Amino acid sequence: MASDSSSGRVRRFALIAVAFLYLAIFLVVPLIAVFSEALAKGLEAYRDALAQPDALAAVKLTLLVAAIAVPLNTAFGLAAAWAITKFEFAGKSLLTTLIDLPFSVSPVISGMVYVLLFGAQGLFGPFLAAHGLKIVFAVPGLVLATVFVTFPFVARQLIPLMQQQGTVEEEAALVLGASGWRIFRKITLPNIRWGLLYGVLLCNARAMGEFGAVSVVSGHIRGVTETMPLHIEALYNGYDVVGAFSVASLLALLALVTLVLKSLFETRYREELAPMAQPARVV
Amino acid sequence: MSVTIEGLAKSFGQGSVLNGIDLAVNEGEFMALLGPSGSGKTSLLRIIAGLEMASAGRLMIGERDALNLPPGERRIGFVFQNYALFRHMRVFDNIAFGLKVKRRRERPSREEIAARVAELLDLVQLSGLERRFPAQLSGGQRQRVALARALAVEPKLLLLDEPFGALDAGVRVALREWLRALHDRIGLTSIFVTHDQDEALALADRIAILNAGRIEQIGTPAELYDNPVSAFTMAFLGPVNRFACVVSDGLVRLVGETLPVPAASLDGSRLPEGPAMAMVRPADIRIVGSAEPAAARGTVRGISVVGGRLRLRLSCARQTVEIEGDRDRMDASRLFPGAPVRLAFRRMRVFPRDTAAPAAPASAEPTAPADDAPLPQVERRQARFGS
Repeated sequence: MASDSSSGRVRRFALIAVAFLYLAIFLVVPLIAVFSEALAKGLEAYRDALAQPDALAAVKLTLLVAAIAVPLNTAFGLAAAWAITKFEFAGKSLLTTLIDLPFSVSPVISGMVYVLLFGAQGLFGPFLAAHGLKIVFAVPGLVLATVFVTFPFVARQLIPLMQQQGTVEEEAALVLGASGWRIFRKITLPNIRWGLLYGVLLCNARAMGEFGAVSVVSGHIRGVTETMPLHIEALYNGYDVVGAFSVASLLALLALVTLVLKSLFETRYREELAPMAQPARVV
Repeated sequence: MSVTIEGLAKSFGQGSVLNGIDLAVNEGEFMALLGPSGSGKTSLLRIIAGLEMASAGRLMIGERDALNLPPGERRIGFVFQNYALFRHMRVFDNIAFGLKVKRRRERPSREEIAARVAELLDLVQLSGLERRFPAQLSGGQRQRVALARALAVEPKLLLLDEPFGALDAGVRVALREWLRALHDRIGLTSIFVTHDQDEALALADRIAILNAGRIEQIGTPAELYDNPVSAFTMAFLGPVNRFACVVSDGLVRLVGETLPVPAASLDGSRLPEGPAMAMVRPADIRIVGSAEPAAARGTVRGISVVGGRLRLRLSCARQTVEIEGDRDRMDASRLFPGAPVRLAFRRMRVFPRDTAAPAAPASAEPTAPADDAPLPQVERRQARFGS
């Protein structure tokens, strides 16, 4: 690069400035706006808005949904990544493709699918009604929709990592007499721990922030089936700007925490991932 | 512990990796599986370890039928090609792993494990490095940690997959001699896979040469070198010159040459009449004076001095021929590019024409052979000739 010449320096400065300006306009300014709107009527109003029973219920529901969906998808993601990277089987590429499905389908459509399946007029509707079970417009529906939307995160994070690591350490442990479960706990899991945490973090952020799919199956019953994103929309539509932005600020905080943890992990995780400085294999 | 393999085969769908392998490794033996890549040698080793399944055949490790035993119960140690050290564990934990995962009633106490690891570290000369992570070790050190880890469970059989493949040349030679001494000292039976014939010849008690999923020949290094049963074995164990030839009336006549060699002078040759392939090692070709009988005539094309040895490149029998000899035995003043020489073959092996297995680059000679296919040039891995 012509980093010495003055024109090179100008060009570099201009590029960096454009990148920062872009980020400022599209990311930082809205973030600041969220907090300033939330605090527009003072700290008192902010605290009151968050202390509303409906707001608290929304926060609780969001935490509950995430607390169910994230562990489920962590387990599923681990199992799927393990199967895909350590074994050969028929239908492997189909499974890999299916994992990506939620990324390519609009969340609204995935919500609709659950309504069509489990709603009153849906495929399983009469059966569920006969047994007094309620899925759509109730918490189970919210969980299902969230699980669907967030299931690629952990698997997607782990598959390339585990592919790169291969199976040779597991084989070494196997020859040394370790059982399958022990190999998983002592060899596989420690090797992927940072990647796994990172995937869980992204999965959690999405689980708490999901709007589209959840909105379709929720039914918008205040204090019962409204998660934070849904509650924010409801408040905003009801012209309660401070209330809406107060709850929104919580989600924004979650995003910031996720971001900080993510970059922490990335530094950490790069070290873990740094392939052992081995000489190339002589063939 | 001895290993007996009978009729072992492995196939993937249509293709087969191993075809009917029979091999007996004696207790205490250091056995090499030598072959080019794709010959099935690593698959064979992994089947012995239980990391791959055989399609057919029998495998006895000691007195036990091992094919249905899980890898952990075969009492083997395995050293992987790139060592496969547990990257998140320190050297100590790497070596202790096999002891820590033993079933509760067989598992040694913490103190016993620590003592055993210390002993092993001493054995592989790595004492003091137990707190390091694998990434903080050199290649040779990693190799020795891998070895210590494999030996921790006191295997009766040690399997090594290209154990020196990833090391620098100098470290490689030192480490292989050390490994051989260790093998003898602790009375192991070892099987190692390599594609490097020098390594196999220098290290092994016996060598099994594999080619395309079959064992081509088994023998001691000397037996294989002196009595190769096939052109493949001969070519794989060192540089050779190949000559198209015709056997008739008890004589071998090189294509493009007029001087016959009595077939009786060849080692144990009872050759069918007709076209054949003669193979001669560079060191087995001598330059002779006009008084002695010669088998071929040639012209010097290039000369290079490699330490105490002289290497010559000649054109002879319409192809390039390499010869090699002691410098003080050769009259260098008469060897210059363009000089005519007469050649005698000290030892030559003649094989049927169609078994000349390893593909060699076609002859670079400008004059096409009159009555034969283009002749392959001499194979030498480190050829360095100025012309």
